[in-house]
Amino acid sequence: MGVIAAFLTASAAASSRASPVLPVLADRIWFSPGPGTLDYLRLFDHPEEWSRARSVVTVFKFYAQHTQTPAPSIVGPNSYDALVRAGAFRKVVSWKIKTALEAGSVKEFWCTPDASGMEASIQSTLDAVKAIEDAGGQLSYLAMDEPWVSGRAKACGGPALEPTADRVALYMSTVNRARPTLKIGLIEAYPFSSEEAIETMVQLLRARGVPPAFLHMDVDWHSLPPGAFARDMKRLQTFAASLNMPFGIIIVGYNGEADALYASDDGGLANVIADAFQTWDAMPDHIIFQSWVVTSTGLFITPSNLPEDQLYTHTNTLWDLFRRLRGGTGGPVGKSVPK
Amino acid sequence: MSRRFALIGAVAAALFPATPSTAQQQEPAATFRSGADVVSVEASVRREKRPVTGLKLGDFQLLDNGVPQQISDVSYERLPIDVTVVLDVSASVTGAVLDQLRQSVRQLKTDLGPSDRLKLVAFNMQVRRLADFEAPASATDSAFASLSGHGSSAIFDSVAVQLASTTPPGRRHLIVLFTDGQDSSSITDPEALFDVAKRTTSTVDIVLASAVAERSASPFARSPGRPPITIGRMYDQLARETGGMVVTTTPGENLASTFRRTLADFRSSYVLYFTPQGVERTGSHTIDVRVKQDGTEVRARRGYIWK
Repeated sequence: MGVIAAFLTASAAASSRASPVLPVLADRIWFSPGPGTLDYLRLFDHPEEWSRARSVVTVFKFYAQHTQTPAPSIVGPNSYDALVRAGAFRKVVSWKIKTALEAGSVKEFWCTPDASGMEASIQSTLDAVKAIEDAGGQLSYLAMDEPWVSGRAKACGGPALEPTADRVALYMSTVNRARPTLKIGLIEAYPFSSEEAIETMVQLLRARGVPPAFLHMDVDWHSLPPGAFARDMKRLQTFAASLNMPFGIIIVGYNGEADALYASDDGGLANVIADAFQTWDAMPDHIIFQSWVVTSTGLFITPSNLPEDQLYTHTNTLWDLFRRLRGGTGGPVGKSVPK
Repeated sequence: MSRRFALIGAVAAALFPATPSTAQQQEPAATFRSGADVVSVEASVRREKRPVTGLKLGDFQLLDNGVPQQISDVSYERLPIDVTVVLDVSASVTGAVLDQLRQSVRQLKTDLGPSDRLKLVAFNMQVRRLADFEAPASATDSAFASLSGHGSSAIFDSVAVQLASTTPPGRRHLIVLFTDGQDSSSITDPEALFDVAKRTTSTVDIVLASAVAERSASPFARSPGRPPITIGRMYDQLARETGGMVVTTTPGENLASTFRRTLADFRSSYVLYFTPQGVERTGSHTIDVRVKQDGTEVRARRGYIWK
């Protein structure tokens, strides 16, 4: 942890001198700040405070809770009304950054004996899409929040994959009928689900006529079996490529008690990714910098987002890890990825 | 195992359709000066501890970074008020004090105007929103039934989240914090809290259950390289930054009347509007509000950050 912190410190100092903007493939870098962060609105009020990081961000992902009224407590000060007042959805479009939304598709409380639960789930998502559009936004991506994690609940049918596949297929087909241009993709947890299980999930959806538009991995890198990560991620990447389905990994921290601890976590996962993929060209199609960490006080306020030249903020970490993965100069103890 | 589960509970809110409150449906009766360049400042004016009423635009003088400003409008008792009550329900706040708090919040509700709204937040080592502005009136009563004093105190986290919440146009926001003193759980440190305070227009009144000991405001959360700030100074600075006040109560004192006083004081404050002239339109600004009448005391926020 200390080594990673030292790397971040050194590379932050180096990057503060770096001004050139590196080219990024379309939709490669996603950013989804902690939903209740205290400076979330400032991202839109003061875009100059993250102009460097913003120059490489190609997709900004909101949480569905950001569109709901009354505002769920997890969004803290970042209610839909507040986001609209800040022009958030409209500004993302004006920055030529695509908008994504993360929503639950299958959750325990939507696994009802009749169809009412999934109808509510679908309606909730359609309401969220409309809320973004009403505020001047243009939604490009919809990321389903780990349906097979919630789908293992007894109410949803337990460990069998098929009942959840049926529910997800209903969700995707109905939402896509209403919003044909929306790209609906899948987030799943690894190693909570094995590489084989994740492939099966995708195939089950394809068999039901609803191939996911992308596949994103939520990796708990603290729980990785030795040597398995690189092997499994490359297999999934190859599998996704064979289906012409973009593959991505979410870079997320699990320690919400301080920005530095969160950044250290982020850096650790980035190291694992760098070791696995080695070169920028071999990296996943999507790299998603996201936070949903909760503090011990029950708030989603970590990490701070701004300013980007302050060590350990989310935008600072995004830029530094992007440079590292991209093959830019790492810190003195970092392992620079060759171009 | 993924921690994304933490988000799941909140999704349930989507199951319930949005129902705008009565207060939301009513248009504010007052004029609101909006625009990117307009700054609003709340100013409480007192003479011999009593509010001074009937002041006009010309009675005020306002300096921004030391430069006299043209005040474009003054509002008095016209804008609806949002009150957020933030209650410490840690282990040290139990029994009779908890009962008093229940009565105090009930009293506060009856003192609200028809367009005013109340939000109730409680904290110990966890921050919980018990009733939002849109919640039905009965929600605060039922929320109290679930409260019991236990655990440590996440004071800064609780206040920071409420301060960071922007106030809808045409409304004013008062945060009333009740606590018995020291933070012992927050992630947010005093410096971060002050930074949020400088960026908001909300006013924070702090009601202390008793006189605070002059020890570090938080044994855990500290900005690197900065000396620890004492509890008393921390609350004084928070109040000064936001134009609020610190009220220290004594055991057995009627909390309901203290809460009423904070609301009455806020309601009787003036709201001054000005468009900064002759100053840099960037960064941190200091504000000095004066009244051209002898014997008056003015309490207003110390500054703002250009937005």
